[in-house]
Amino acid sequence: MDLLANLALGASVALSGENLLYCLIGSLLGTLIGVLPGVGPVATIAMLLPITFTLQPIGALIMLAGIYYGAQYGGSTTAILVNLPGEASSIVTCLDGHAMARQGRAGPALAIAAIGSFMAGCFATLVVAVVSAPLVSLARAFGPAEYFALMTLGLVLSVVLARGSPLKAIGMILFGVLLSLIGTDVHTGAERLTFGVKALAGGFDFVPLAMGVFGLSEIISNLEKGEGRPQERLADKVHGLMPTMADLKASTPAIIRGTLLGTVLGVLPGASSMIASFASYTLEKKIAKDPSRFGRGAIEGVAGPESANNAGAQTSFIPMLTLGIPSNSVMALMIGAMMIQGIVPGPQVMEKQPALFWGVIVSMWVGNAMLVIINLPLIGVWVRLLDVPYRLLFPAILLLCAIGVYSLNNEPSQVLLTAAAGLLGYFFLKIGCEPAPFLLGFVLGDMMEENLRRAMQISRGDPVAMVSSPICAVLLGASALLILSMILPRIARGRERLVED
Amino acid sequence: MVQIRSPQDFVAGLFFLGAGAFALYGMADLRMGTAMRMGPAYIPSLISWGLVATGAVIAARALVISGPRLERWAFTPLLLICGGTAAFGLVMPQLGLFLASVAITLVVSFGSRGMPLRQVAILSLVLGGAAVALFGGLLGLPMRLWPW
Repeated sequence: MDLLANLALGASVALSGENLLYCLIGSLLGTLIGVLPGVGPVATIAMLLPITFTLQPIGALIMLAGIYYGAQYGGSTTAILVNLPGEASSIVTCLDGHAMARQGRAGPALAIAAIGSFMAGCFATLVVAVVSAPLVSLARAFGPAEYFALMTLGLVLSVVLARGSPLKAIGMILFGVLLSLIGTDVHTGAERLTFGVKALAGGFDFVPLAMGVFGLSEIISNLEKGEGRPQERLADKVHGLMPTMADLKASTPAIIRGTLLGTVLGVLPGASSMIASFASYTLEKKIAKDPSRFGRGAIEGVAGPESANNAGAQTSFIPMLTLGIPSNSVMALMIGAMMIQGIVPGPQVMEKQPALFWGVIVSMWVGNAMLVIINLPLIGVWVRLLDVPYRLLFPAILLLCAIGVYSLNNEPSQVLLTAAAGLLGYFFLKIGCEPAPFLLGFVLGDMMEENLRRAMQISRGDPVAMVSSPICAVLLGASALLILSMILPRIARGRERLVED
Repeated sequence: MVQIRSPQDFVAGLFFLGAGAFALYGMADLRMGTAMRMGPAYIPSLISWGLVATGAVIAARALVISGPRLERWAFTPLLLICGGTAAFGLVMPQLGLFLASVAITLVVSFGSRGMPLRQVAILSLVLGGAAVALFGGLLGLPMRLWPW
């Protein structure tokens, strides 16, 4: 009954007045920014990072987690009501959610999205709690070779799951890894690729890079597309929120399927909650008796993806909390935030700081419950936020980004780097390269080098020794199989269909 | 005749190839070391060669398989957004948060067409004031707020 005791400990932390407040503030702020189109969870967290600097570590992490799933949640509200995906993961919610809103059924769509998210959140939180302890004890047996193999698998998976050409995704990963290696080499003290620039000696920081590549380039491309946003007001059409019995009957199995799918996909490195929602939509459409209803207001098309992306958002905490390995860019930011608070992420967190570990897990459940209770009545407020014209909004967003980056260590060069990264992100956009694998490569790159170096030292330079450990062999074997499956054309075509549908 | 059938991929390939080659050039005088005791250049060189190879394959494929054309770049918003952000970084250390906020707002606002000058001026003052009140006053971040 260890689990119950642990959850009780977590509950005592998460339900303390102070932490409840941080959880509430986090989920509200996250929703607020998630509602705005063009600002993803990465930029949101980076923007709001300075707010958490002054808090205790537990409060800070609870608030950041709240911002993350709040942002997920806010994205779906705008997707349904105004056909604008606030987040990438709610693109599919636009399809049927907005169609439902046009038919005057915005209320049920929003309610099902909220209920689905909440159910998924509950289940996924439980999974996180159950899976974490055994994973942590497994992770204690991990040496550098195993860590290296695990990260390799993560990068390979991110290629498999990236949209578009796998070759370009590989290029982006390698480029990210290369950037992460710039700076002083910890083993020899030699400066690598700094070209004598002092500011580069410490290497690139993650936050300015992520902010530029995701945030700035997104805003630039929004401005490029012009401000001819659909200004259709459907908020007035939100009458009854209650879904009918038929709605509930149709969406319950979709919620269950979406939750399971999202729970599994969320753990995989590189699989963002966006992949989870896309996969769930494809699944629902495939098994539906009448697939032609999809895109015209099928409630399963809202229930499934919304559950999937929320479940994925929760379970993506598993590799971060247990192994200290970020599975996506948001988790990389969380790791950054933990480091700033003086906590080194990894298997030791659960043992040394059980209150923090379990408190964060329970707070996810609390936060999900809060979102349902608070946000449904607030929908009107969120929608009115969209009446603020984009031309007034984006300078404020950029200003928050700039302050967020600057406040990391009061370093003006970080802000300049953000601007440069914005340029790079726009270039990636124009050459059809997805930034997610790049960022994952950047995050894992120097960790991989470190672990590979140590592993090779231990094995005295013999690469075969890496495969002799069973965990390593399985992880590397799986990576090799995945690469093969991408090269074989038939499977590759199936994958394209899955991702593009 | 060699023809570029997929301009987007071709540029992407050249970019990866160039980045890899540039890194190899930049690391030319660093020690490689052995697999057992890797020098500073060991893994970066492997990665760079990987980039060169990937880039070459992507660029070569772009000559055979057709793909999307290169889109036009929107230079005005690009330069104003990146420039405005850079301006914040340049102004901040000497002149403080208020003027830095005003600077970034002024510059980036011109990235959006049809924003009247008066509105830009008001917006920049409002955002500057809000930033000082929130981050300087409420959160008390250790930042310079004013030029004096």
